[in-house]
Amino acid sequence: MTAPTVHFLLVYSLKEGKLVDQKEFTDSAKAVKAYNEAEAAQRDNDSYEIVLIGSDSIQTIMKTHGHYFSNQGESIFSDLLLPTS
Amino acid sequence: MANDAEDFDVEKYLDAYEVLDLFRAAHQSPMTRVTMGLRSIVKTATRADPIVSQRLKRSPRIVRKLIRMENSNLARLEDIGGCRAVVQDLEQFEAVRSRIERVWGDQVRRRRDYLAEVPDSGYRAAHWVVERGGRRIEVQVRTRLQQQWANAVESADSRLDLTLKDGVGPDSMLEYFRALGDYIYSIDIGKPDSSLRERLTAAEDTVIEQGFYSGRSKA
Repeated sequence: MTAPTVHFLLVYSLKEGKLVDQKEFTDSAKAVKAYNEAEAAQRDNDSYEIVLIGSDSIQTIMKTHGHYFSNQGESIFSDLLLPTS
Repeated sequence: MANDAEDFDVEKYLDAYEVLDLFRAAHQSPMTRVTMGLRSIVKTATRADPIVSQRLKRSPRIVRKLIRMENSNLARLEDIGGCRAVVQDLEQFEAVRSRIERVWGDQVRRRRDYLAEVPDSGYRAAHWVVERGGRRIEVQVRTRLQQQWANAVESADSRLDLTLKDGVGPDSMLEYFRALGDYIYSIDIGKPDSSLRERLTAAEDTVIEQGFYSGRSKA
């Protein structure tokens, strides 16, 4: 059994450092059309990153494209991951 | 893209984006097929639930890349459609890598081993370009730690409006991510290296001092 692909159109605000919109599509062609339209609407606005990512679930996308979901802010990497001793 | 406002042709501008959108859309179906194949490869090679997703490249990134690669064109870009697998550790990474070669070997148009040849940015992963339905699709395999490194670079780029992932930015930040990548690799191979840790700490001190990060929460 293969899990169907779900397409997520994500809008990440660079100013706010977080996702501000998330739309879900099961129809691949509709997802691509929505992606094109969303980008066209923000063509001259570089405050947002708009991206279309597909996977079996949003949980998987959190693991493969984590920076759209975790706000690391100004924390230094080793605080988040590596023990200092 | 026209730089000179007087030469700017709105029609051409809109046509160019229409071409880009259509060209990119043509990658969706081949990309989905490659993703399905990659899921199957990862599942067989690791006996774990595959962590695989796909993405169509953002158009601002496509435009930036075309500008950077002078005399290029859309058809020469090989990462408009991309699939990524994240695996637990280097053992799984190697298992997936050999299975990709076994299953897709004759369909691979390009392969890049960024563990053997680490770029200046410090990026590590293995990449392949495979062909499906006449379209080139990029496949990336990263360990969990390599993915976390890449997330940190993406976060810094977004937050500070930099392009460190292209190897461009302040020297201190480039050194920080190189040092971080080297140290992470020593963890990935099961031999955390104390001298690499010291180099990383020094690089961290510099980027904190220069205001790129707020500081450490732990002593």
